[in-house]
Amino acid sequence: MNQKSVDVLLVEDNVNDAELAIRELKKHNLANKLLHVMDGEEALEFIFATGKFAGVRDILFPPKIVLLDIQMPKVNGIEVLEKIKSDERTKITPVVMLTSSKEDPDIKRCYALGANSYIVKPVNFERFAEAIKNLGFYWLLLNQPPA
Amino acid sequence: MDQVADFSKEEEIETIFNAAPDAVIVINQQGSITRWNPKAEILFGWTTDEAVGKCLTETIIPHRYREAHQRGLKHFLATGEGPVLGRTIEIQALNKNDLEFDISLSISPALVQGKRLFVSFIRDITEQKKAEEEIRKLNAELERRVLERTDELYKSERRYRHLFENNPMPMWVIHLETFKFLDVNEAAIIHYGYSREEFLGMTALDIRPEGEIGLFKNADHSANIRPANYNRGIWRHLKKDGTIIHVEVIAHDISFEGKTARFILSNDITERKEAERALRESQALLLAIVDNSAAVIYVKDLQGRYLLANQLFSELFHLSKDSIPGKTDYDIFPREVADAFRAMDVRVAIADRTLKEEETAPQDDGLHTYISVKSTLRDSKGKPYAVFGISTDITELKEIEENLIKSLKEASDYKFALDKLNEELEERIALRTIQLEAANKEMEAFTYSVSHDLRSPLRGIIGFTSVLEDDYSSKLDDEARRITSIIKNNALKMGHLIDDLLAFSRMGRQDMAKTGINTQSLVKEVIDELSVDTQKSIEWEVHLLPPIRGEINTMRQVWVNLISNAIKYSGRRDRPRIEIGHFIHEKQIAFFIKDNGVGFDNKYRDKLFKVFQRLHSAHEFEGTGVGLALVDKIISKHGGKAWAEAEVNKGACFYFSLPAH
Repeated sequence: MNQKSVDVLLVEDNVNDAELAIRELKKHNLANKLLHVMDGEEALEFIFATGKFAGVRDILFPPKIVLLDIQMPKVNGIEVLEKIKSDERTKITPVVMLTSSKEDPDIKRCYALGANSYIVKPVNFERFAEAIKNLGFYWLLLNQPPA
Repeated sequence: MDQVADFSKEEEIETIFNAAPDAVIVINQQGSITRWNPKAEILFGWTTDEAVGKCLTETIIPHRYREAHQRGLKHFLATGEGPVLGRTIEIQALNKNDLEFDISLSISPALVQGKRLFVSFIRDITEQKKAEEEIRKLNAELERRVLERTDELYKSERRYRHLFENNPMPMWVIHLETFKFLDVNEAAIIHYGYSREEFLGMTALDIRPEGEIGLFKNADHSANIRPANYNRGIWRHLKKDGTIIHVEVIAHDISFEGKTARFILSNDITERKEAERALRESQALLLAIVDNSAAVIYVKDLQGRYLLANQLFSELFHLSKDSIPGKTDYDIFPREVADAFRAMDVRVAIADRTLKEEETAPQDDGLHTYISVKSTLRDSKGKPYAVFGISTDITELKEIEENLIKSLKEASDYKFALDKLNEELEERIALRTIQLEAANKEMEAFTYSVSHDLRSPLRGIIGFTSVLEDDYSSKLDDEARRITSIIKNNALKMGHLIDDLLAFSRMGRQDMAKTGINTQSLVKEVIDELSVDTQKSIEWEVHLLPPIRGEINTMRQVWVNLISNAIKYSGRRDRPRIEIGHFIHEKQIAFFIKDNGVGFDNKYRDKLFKVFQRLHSAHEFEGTGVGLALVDKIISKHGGKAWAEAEVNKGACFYFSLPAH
C-alpha cells in the first residue's frame, strides 16, 4: 500500500477488534486505503513520519481519519491524541477515539484535547458494525477536510 | 180712757222702750231727737241728755248722708212719701267718736197728738256684716280651689295617660270578669305584634301558650288586689308570630270606665332567663372543668378559710366537698404543712400578684411535691378578697429530675473515658476513610478494567460468530447454524450482564445531583419509549403523579426497570394491564406499578431486590437479575425504600417511596 495515500489509520492493539472493524469497512468499500497499526508508538511514527516511516511518507499528507483505541500498551491513545492535536502540522487531522468501556473516565479529557468523536465499541456485533460503517461513511465520504 | 190705766200703759211703754234690744230713737218733724233709749246710749256713745234736742244730722248720720236726710225729710213732710219708710234698710251710722259702723234701720212715721213723729229702730249689724264677708270670702276661696283642683286633675289625667301610652313597657287593662282587653299601650302593640284593634277584640287568654290557658283561667284572679298593693308573677306569653316569651307581670286592680279592671305591666325577661340559663351552664362547665382537673384547685379567703375546693382536693385529703368550706389548712393538714401553705397564701395576698412555688403535701402514699400557682381574686371594686390556687403534682417529674441529675453525674464520670474512646474512634474513622477511599479507587480501576477486559473478548466472540453467520452460512448445516446462534446469544447475554453489573457498581460511587423531577412527564416518556417494542397493546392506567426531587438519570432508570418488568411479566396475559399511581406512606411519597402478570410467591419478595436473585428462570423470562437490585440501590441512595407484593398468577405490585420535599 502506498504509505502516502492512507485514508484511514486504525490504531488498535486488539487484533480481533481490528479485524472485525476492517471487515466491516471493507464490506462497504471503505478500507481500500487503510493502515492498521498495533500501538501508539507506531501510530505516532506514522503520523509524524518518524522511525520506520521516516522518509517513507510525507507528514503533510495526513490520513482522512484516525481511529484511535485508548487502551493500548506502551503509548496509549490519549498520549497519541495529545501529540497529534498539539502539533500545528497535524492538529487538523480528524481523530475518533474508540474505547471498550462506558466507564472510561477520559471522555471529557479526550474532547478537551481536541478529539473529533468518541465511540464506545458495542459488544453487540451488529451495532459495532453499524458504528464502524457510519464512521467510515462520515469521515471518508461526507466530511470536507480543509484544503 | 182710764187715767190709771193710761198711766200704767204709759209706764208699760216706757219699760218696753227702755228694755228694747235695739236702739230706739224718736225725732220730731224738725229732725230733733225727742227720745233716746239706753240701748242708743250704748250704741252711739251719747247719753240721753246729750242726745235729746240735737238733730240726727248733728249726731249719728254720716256726713255724706246728711243732705239727703234733710231733703228726704222735707220731701216726706211735703208729699207724705218716703222710700226708706216702713222697711228695714242697711246703712252706716256714726258714733260719738265719729267712727262709722253698719246698722240696720227701720223708720216708722207716726202722728201723736197732731204732731209728726218718726220712730227709728236701729241694730248694730257690724258682726253680722263681718260674718257675711267671711262667708263670701270662704266661698270665693272654695270656688278658686275647686277650679285649681279640676285643672290639676285634668293635667294629672293627661300625665298618666302619657305615662301609659308612651311607657316602654307593655301595659294593658283587662276586664276582670271577661279578661277582655280594655286598653293597651303602644309598647304592648309593638312587643306582642297585635294591632290595637286586634287587642281590643281579644282576651288575656289569647296571649297564653296552649298549655297554659287553663293555668291562667284557674288562677285566683278574684283575690282582691287593693289599688295600693300589687301582684307580681312570672308567666309565659305568646306573641302574634308564635314566639313564646317569659314575662314578669305586675298587676293592680283599678276601676276603669266604671268596670272592675286590672292594670297589667308586662316585662319581657326572656333574655334575662336565657342569660341566667347560659350563666348556669357556664358555671356548670367551669365547675366540671375545675372538678375534672388533674390539678388540685382551691379558693381561700384572706383569713385562710376555704371558700371552694375541687373534687381532687376532696379525694386526696378524704374530705367531703361540702365539709371543706369554712375550714382552714390547720383543720386539714399537720401544723408545719399548714404553716407553709398559709405563708405562701399570705405572700400572694401581700404581693397581690401571681406567684409560683413548690409545695409539699402528705398523701396516703407519702409526701407529694406540687408546683402551686396562686393568685388573688378581686371583688367588683378591685379589692383582693381571696387567694386562688392551682397545684399540680410533680412528684413523678421530681423523681425523674432526680434520676436525671444522678444519671448526669454518672454520665460525667464516663465522659472522660468516652471522650478518649471517641478520640480513638475518630482516629479509626479517619484511617478507615482513607482505606475506604483507596478501596473505592481500586474498585473504580477494577470496574474499568473488568468493563474493558471482559467486553473485548465478548466482542470478539459475538463479532466472529456474526461473521460465521453472515459469510459462511451456506457452508454450515442447520445444527451448526443453531449452535452458532446459541454461542452468540449467550455472549450477548453476558454483555448485558456486564453492562448491568457496571451500572450497579457505578451507582454506589456516584454522587446524586438532585433536581426537581416532573414524575408525570418522566413516566409518560418512559412508557412511550418502552411501548415501541411491545407487541401486545397494554391497558395503561396512569394516575396523577406528584413531582419529586432526585437525580434524573437514575430515577429514569428506576422507572425504566420497573415499567419494563411490568410489561415483561404481564406480556403473556390476554389483556395486559398496568396501573401506576402514588400514595402517602410513612410520611414519604410512595409510587406503585401494578401489573396483572404472572406475579410471584410473596414469601420470596425480599429476595427480589438482591443482585442475581431471580424468581423466574431465564428460560421463562429474560433478565440478568440486576434490574431490581439497581432500583433498590438508587431508591435507598435517594433516602427512600423499595418493596413489592404479589401472588402467583395474580399480578405483582412494586412500590418505592421517596422523601417528600
